[in-house]
Amino acid sequence: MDAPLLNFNRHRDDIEREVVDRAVDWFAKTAGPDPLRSYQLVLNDAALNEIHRLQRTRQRGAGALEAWERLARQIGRMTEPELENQIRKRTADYANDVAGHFDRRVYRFATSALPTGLGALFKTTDLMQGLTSLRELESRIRVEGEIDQVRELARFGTLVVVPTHSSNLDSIVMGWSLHNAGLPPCTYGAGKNLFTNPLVGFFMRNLGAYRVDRRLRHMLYKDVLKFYSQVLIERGYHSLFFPGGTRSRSGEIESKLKLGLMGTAISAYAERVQRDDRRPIYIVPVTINYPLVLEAETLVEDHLKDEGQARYIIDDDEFSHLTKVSHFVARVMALDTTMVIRYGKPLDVFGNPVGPDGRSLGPGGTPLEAHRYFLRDGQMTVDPQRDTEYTRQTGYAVAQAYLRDAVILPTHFLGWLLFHRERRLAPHLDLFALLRSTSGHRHDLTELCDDAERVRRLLCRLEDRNQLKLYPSVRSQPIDAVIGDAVKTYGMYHLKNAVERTDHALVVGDPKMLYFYGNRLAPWTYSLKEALA
Amino acid sequence: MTRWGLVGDGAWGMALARRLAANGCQVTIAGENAYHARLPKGVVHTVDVRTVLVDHERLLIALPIGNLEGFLTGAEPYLRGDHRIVSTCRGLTPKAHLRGTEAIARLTAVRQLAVLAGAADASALKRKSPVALVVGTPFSDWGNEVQTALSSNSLRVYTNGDLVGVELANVVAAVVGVALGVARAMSVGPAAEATALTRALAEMDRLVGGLGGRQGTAYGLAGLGVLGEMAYEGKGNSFKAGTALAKGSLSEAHSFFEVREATRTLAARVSLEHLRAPLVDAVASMMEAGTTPIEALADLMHRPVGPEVG
Repeated sequence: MDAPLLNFNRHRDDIEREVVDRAVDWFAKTAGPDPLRSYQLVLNDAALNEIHRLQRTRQRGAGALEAWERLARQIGRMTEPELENQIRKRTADYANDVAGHFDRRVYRFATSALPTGLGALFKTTDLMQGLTSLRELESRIRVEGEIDQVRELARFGTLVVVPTHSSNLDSIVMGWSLHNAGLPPCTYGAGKNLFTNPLVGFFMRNLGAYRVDRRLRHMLYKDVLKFYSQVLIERGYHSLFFPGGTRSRSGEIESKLKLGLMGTAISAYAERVQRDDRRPIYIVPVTINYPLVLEAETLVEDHLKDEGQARYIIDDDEFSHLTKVSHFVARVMALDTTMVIRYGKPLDVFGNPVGPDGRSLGPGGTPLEAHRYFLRDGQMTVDPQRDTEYTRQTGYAVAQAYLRDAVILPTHFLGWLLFHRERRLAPHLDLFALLRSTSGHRHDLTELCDDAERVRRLLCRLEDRNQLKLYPSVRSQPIDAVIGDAVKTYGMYHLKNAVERTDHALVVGDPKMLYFYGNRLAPWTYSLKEALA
Repeated sequence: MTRWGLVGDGAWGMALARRLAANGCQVTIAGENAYHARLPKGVVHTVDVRTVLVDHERLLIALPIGNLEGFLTGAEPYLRGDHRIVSTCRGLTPKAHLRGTEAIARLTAVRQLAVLAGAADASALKRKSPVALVVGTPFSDWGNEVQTALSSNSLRVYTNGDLVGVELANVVAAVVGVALGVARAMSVGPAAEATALTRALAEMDRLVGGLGGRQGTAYGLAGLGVLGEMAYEGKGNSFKAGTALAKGSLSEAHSFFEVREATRTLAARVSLEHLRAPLVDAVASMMEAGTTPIEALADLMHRPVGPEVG
């Protein structure tokens, strides 16, 4: 059976119509039973937010600011049908802006003729060289985990794939991994800023990505986005979104997830149950584990700035420079350590594990009927507050899955260890002063190996207890080889070498990079410190 | 008429069953203690827990915390997504050191959970003293339902969205209450007792915040309410255990088994989560390591002084 996304264009208009109808119905009840007041509230909120945004960005002259200002003055005098008309029009505009396309030709091109595209990415002019690159790509990215089960579930259920997010390359890498693992293509929400990269933008526009404009903070837009995602899931389109919301600035695995889009999976399932459609929806947590992160330097800088949140949307990082991307990819190809994409155990929309047959399971392995979560006295009930709470609990289950499936690579391992030693060497410096320093500390290799062995022993125990995953070489290679691999990897890409090796020591050049990569182990910091005490 | 299933037929379970029945609920209570007790109209007793679980989606669990994990392991196959549970279990589980609802969430598929806490006990309900309890749950519909089902002219049931905070405040109060008992028995004077009370509250607030609850919840019925009852009444098991410690009778203090367990499990959880809890540590040290109250007080007084809040 064709993946639903392959036929997306045929249903695009119909989907948009349904989104608009649902959203307008919803907006009519926003402020209670009176539609007039509800419409006024929604339009006022949109106008206020847009006027502030456009004034901040000084986009006067383009006409948008003036149009919103005009509307804001008129809202109080409008009749209910006029307000509804305005809301319908703007909702339709936003739905049209959000909705993606799916072009089978581009999909075929992207999946079977990918070498040409990748060739461009690697700046190779020779097709054969491009083909070699693709083969290398397969050996450079390891896709592992519960792939067989996820593939089976996709046959009769709808997947909502929720990966960790550390780089703008994530959506490309995920698209590739889905195809490589024999999984159906997913529609996904991508920040509008990503479409500015011409090559990536072309693929995104034509491979089912829908555009999310994170500058728009008003409920009119946010609810259109939620209904769009919900309608797609309801209709059986496999979906992907990054619940971290934005790339991890500190290098840590996301623990606080944004639940807006994840909530659409529960809403979609509730809608299905109401229509007696019991087709299941599955949440698939995925961890993307890079030995090197393309934008590490920009991200950690942003993390350190007080105004980090103000730069929530970074549009001038490494990803926007094609030459940097190609340089990075070429370097990653030359690494000994591969990138790992790990598919975790699938969950139902309430965060319960599911068995091989797709049935939800209780903690003791008892099969559950998932639709019962919506019942009260045997009747299906609509309770948005309850469902919001269910979403929060599912978010917690996903965050726990991220920890279990985080793959610790040599760069994370050495990053944590060296940064911990740096802090011990400079106890008088606060964290930020230390991160801003150029260090220059020498770490004797014999002592370092001794500490590394102790940390590794603990990590192995944690892996045995299924609390994290270790990259095979971290577990089994001689410790000096693990350290050597990490040092070599840092040196492959980052301009300012994080660490340099001398005869019998490692010299730290950039604590920030160590902090960034070491943060992958942050959830286990206390235990690790105890192991070294 | 709403139907409720109760698990645990001790004094507290029976008092709550009566309260529910008085409000027109149909109650089936399961347990092995009260099968011969005189039951009010609307309450049926059974020893068959399975039937209670299968037939009722509204459940109230009034078991000692030590029995909870065993009960849940057996109950897991019968608990479904539409079950809603309110727990009155006080303390942390003996092995995993989990809150009651935390254990329910971990060992069963039930999501809609609530906790009932506060100073009122079975005898206060029986006497119809004017008292209050708090039901903590993030599920507002479920919280409102519990509130309506239990409230009366003499019992006010408040709702609170901070389940974790309510449940933890109740546990921490049982432990820091020991310190209040010690202070009273040592006759340290009203100023010192007031100091102990305020520092106990600050510690309770910090622990609630550190373990996932909201700061401020400790000042409600489940925290300050319980401490206030102890301080005014000068009774309560925690207070009595503290009195025994002050007298130097460790065996008598250990006879308050639930208080000793609450102390042991909370100290272990606090240590696991790397939180600062000097009063809890002091009580644990008196209970388990034989530290005398004088030594414990000296340790507390010699710590570096910091800001009052934080």
